[in-house]
Amino acid sequence: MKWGMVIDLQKCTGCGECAAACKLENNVAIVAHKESEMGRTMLWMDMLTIYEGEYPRLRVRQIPRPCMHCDHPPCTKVCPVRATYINEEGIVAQIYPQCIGCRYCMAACPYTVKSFNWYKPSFPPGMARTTNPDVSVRPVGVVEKCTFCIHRLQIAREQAKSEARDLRENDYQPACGASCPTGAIVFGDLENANHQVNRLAHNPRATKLLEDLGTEPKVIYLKEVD
Amino acid sequence: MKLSRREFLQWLGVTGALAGGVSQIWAVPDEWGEKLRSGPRLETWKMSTCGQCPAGCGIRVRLIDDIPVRILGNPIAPVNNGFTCPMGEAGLELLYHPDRIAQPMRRKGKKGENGWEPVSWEDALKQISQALREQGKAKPPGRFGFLMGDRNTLLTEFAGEFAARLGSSHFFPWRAPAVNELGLRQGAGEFPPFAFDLKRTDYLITFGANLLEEPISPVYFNRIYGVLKEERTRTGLKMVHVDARMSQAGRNATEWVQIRPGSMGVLALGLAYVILRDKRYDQDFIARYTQDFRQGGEDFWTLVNRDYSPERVSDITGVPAQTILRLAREFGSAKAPLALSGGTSASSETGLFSQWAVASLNALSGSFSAKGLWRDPALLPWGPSLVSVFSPRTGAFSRKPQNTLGSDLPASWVAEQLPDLAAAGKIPDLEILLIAQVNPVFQASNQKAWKAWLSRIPLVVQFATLVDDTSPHADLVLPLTTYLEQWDLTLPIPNLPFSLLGLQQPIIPPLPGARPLGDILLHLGREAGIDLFPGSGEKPYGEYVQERMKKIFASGKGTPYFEAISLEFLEDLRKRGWQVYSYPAFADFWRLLREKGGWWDPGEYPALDWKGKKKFLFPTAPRLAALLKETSIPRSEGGGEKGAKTPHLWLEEKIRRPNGHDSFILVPFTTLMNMTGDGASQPLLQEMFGLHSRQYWKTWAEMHPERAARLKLKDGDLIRVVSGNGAMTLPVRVVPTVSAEILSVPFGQGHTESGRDANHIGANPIAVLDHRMDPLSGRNSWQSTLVRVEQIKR
Repeated sequence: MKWGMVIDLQKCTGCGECAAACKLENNVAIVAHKESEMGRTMLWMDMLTIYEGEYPRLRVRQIPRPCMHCDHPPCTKVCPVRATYINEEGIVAQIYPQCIGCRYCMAACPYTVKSFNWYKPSFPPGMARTTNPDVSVRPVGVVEKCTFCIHRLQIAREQAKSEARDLRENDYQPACGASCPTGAIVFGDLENANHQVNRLAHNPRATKLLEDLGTEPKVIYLKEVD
Repeated sequence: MKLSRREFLQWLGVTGALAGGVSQIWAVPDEWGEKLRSGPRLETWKMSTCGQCPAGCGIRVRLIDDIPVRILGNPIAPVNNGFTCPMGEAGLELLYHPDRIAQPMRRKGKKGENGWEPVSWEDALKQISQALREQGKAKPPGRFGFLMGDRNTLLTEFAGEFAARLGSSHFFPWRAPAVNELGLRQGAGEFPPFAFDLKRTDYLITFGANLLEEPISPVYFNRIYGVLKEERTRTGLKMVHVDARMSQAGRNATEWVQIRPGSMGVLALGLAYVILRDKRYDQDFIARYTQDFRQGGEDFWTLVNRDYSPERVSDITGVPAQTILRLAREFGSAKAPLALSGGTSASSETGLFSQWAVASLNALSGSFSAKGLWRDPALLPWGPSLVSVFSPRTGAFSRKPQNTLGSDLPASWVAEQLPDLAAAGKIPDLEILLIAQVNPVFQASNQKAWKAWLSRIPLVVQFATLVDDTSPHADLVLPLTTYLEQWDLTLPIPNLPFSLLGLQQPIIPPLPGARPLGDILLHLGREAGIDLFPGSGEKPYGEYVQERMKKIFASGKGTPYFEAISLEFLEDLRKRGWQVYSYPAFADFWRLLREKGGWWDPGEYPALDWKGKKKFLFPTAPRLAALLKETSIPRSEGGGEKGAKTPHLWLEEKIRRPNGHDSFILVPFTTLMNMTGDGASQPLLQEMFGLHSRQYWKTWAEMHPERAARLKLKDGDLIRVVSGNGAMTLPVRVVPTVSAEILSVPFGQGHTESGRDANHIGANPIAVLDHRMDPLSGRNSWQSTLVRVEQIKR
């Protein structure tokens, strides 16, 4: 079993809903304007914008960018305390209590998907109520990133177990995929021939970001053709 | 004791704590914290309809131990099929906002100053109802006005009824026009505009219509665009977006055509010129259903052939003549071409003219006769809604059924001009003005005039969830519930090809201090001697909503939302007498509505049939001249007399060009994160404000690389943008997605009073605009202001 994601850029309209859903689902801290000015905005799902050509042939590519969950992740290799590691299902995970905040992994990640918690989580009175109770809030001084919404996998597994059945394809979908209005984000088991991602990963339009680095990302993009 | 608002809130917090711990300062009751920590963690879901914008998306709220923790889309809501936009997701930040007003406040000191004292609900309501009774006795009556942000819900109609029953025709709804609204109102006499089915077009050209970021229904249109983008690789569908800035609509189109702001109508007539010359027009449709095409004299044919040759159009619009020829030929030869005008096309001094020209492009090219492409919105089973209208001839406001507007305009078009209309004597000196769900001092470009007008009205009452930029100019501020704590119905969404009623129901009871507007109006009405809900005794607004749904139930039409099945299959089932749900009694129907989140008519609107419709009027010089002569909308400059014979040329003079190396046309734009400016109060939306530009929590200015190079500006440099009306300091973003003539600045920041996450962040580009408006529609122009740019040394 190897969890992976396919993002079809021909379907994506760049609405940004994946980024919003991700922030709320995972209680990603909102750092407010002064900290944002210092480049400390935290987005597990970011939106890359690439300009190609010049007007009148200008094309703007918008690329949603989660953690690539590489098969050869550069981040895990540099972690001195094994706070980040790749599990047997291919998810690059993070153990927050183990993280010492050295940020080597942030420097090593070529996709710049990791963010550092510069601040103690604080909420104006009342605002704490908007957090998702399924995901813990990270303490100050640790690195965090997209987890493929692994908590959803745990919930889905428990549900399947209680119903004495195997996990079905749609049981486990990360928040970005589940919230994408155009269905551009597809998630599933890359090794399961019955899963849609498996088929899409072999599409001729399939490509990976910075493939030549040999990181073997498990987020696969389908190129826009027009 | 004179207190500032902040001191007032602090004071409330302190006294609350002293009195035994139930602090009123924060909206969330303290006991919830304990409940969240030690409750049984029971999960429930409730269905409702989003109220962040008028799009009518169904929402599904997750509650843990009855405390809302997340908003997701309702999977069976027909508008959004389970999805939301970032605004929809952020709704709980409004519900739990720490700056929510907790108690009615009365102004202390002068208007514009921010001094408040707390008053009880009883005292505040007594003061309003007394003022309402007194103005009712005055001769002539009508010294009472009601300005209301129209979120396309039943509540707007109810508030209009409230004003009318109190003898006032001065009910002013405030909302952005739908796509094609100005053009089809003028050309076809239609209001609301026809709906359209994007999936049936084979050539889409959008004149400023940014369906992906406009508040009509962004989730719906993002879904459809996703499908169109995928299918166009097989079908060859072309999607052309015409605008000075490449918005999300431009980025997702197959081609973006840069155009000078305000000149979209000229381009449309330029395309018409080529279509006429090539004889590619729909002769049958034109002969049967249109007027003024070619009857002789100053007709459309003459107008277009004389004044809109590609060379001249190219000079005015900046679009190369070759592109005009190509676009016209592509559009003219398509089987189901569709030209839409929205967004920026409506917010210029040539707004109505531009949209009218685009509408005539559809009449010309056979778009209106393409099968199923256009849809005729059916009335709800309870009949036509009454809408507030403005007579351009007399300047008077009144109410009319939505389908019988005659020569009147929807009052929402002129809502921004109320101070000018008052100055021109078209509105009497008001004794009392109620304001709800709108922030005119922030949203209108003539902000000084708004402040002055509000300061002249003896009693200005604002109903609001958060204090906003208008509050300092009010005499009383009363705390409203959010859409998550109240009853309402979202009405059918303009432009969408099906009918629906989205049920808004309280996810939780109103938080302490706040009341729903519907209930306040019912109470005020009873106090003033009118009963808006006859025979109900003291029943609340929620029961009124239920009562209205009884009419829908009795009609037997439509059904509560249901799981998606194909319409063809449904039609087959229906023919066999099958019903989707079984609800023998209203109680069953109501229970299903609450469970499913709304009602809809799964059959799409019937295809547009011009038989029985008024003839489509093509724009002609005499008709434009007559409109300009008759209109009583105040002008920012000399009247249209000099343009009596060539009114179109007079209008074209209003298309601005920069005059110097540091001169730009300032063009504000809106983003999906903050379409009306309200989003700035919600931290999630602030953090995602400029997601695509990587600009968060700020305002920036977008400039074309060539212009930036000439001004020796680099990405991130600070610039000072100076207009005749003010100045603002912003970082510059050097991007190829704007035309070289414009400086594009996002709207939404620059609040002075809108909660802690909005205040004193960024700048409001609307505040520095020159006050210019479209003399034919009354809409403020966002594209008429020339600014100079100066570099600021860091």
